[in-house]
Amino acid sequence: MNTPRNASHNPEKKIDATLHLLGQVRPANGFEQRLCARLDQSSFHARKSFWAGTSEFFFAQRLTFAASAATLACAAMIVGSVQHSHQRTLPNTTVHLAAPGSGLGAASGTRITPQPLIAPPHGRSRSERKATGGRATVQRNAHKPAGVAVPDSAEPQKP
Amino acid sequence: MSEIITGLVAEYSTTLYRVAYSVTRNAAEAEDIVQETFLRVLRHQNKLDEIRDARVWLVRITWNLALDRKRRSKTRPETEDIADMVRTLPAEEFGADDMAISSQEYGRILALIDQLPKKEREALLLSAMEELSTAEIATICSTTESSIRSRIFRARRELAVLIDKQRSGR
Repeated sequence: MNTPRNASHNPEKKIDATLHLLGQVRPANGFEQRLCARLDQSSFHARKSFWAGTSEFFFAQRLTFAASAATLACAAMIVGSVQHSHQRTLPNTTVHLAAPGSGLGAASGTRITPQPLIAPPHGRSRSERKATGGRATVQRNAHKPAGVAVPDSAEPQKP
Repeated sequence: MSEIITGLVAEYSTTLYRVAYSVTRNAAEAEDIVQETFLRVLRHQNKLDEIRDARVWLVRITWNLALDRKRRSKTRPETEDIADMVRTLPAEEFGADDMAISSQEYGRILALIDQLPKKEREALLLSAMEELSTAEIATICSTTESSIRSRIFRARRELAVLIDKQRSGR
């Protein structure tokens, strides 16, 4: 320990001297090298711990990742399949015409025959009816099974 | 570690050590604080380009870390005695002819500085760093230059009163 060389009791001088000494403090020798070494070590550990932590996380969660991957794969297959079938049956809003003679096409697809249908020369279509006033009439000369009575007039009586 | 960080360590580590030591008065803790400061810089080194004044920025980090550590270790007794404090000073300092203070007095006045109000104490301690201007101290303390000047003035006046009281009490 040193002894005071100046016997001055001026507080201002003592304060200045104390602050001057405080501002002249020096770290121990090799501080800068120690600091750099510690920082190097810390940055290396930080990098190492990042990769170690990442790999450990993926290893520990491998079952979860496998299950998630399988679920995703199944979902992708289902979605793909549904989309594919929609493309075949409902391509757009227009009428689907199957290619003539190709024999391919969905069961619900509208078909137009390549040639128009020709009506038979004698006879009529089954849906053709002749009605009078909304009532069915039977012709007198119509062929009827034996025992079937036909009224004289099927026309409704006029008032 | 990047060259920028190495450059910052070379340029500012001693200043930062002084700043940390002025608060903690413990060499090992001051070294730890400086290291912590540069670790933070490492973590945010991508933001270094945005820093206008690296010195003020670094001193501010160190200052806040030191105050935080001091706050946390308030209940812990000081481990560093006067002899340890003197060891941190350049060998020629106490041997200078114009020195007006002994190592014992140096320790006593540092203890008296700790009795000052917080704002005055902080301004006075930062004013001891010759590398820092009043404007820089104001930035570190988030206040104005005039406020720093008045804090330093009040601190010196109160400290002088405390020194006189101590001397008359002995």
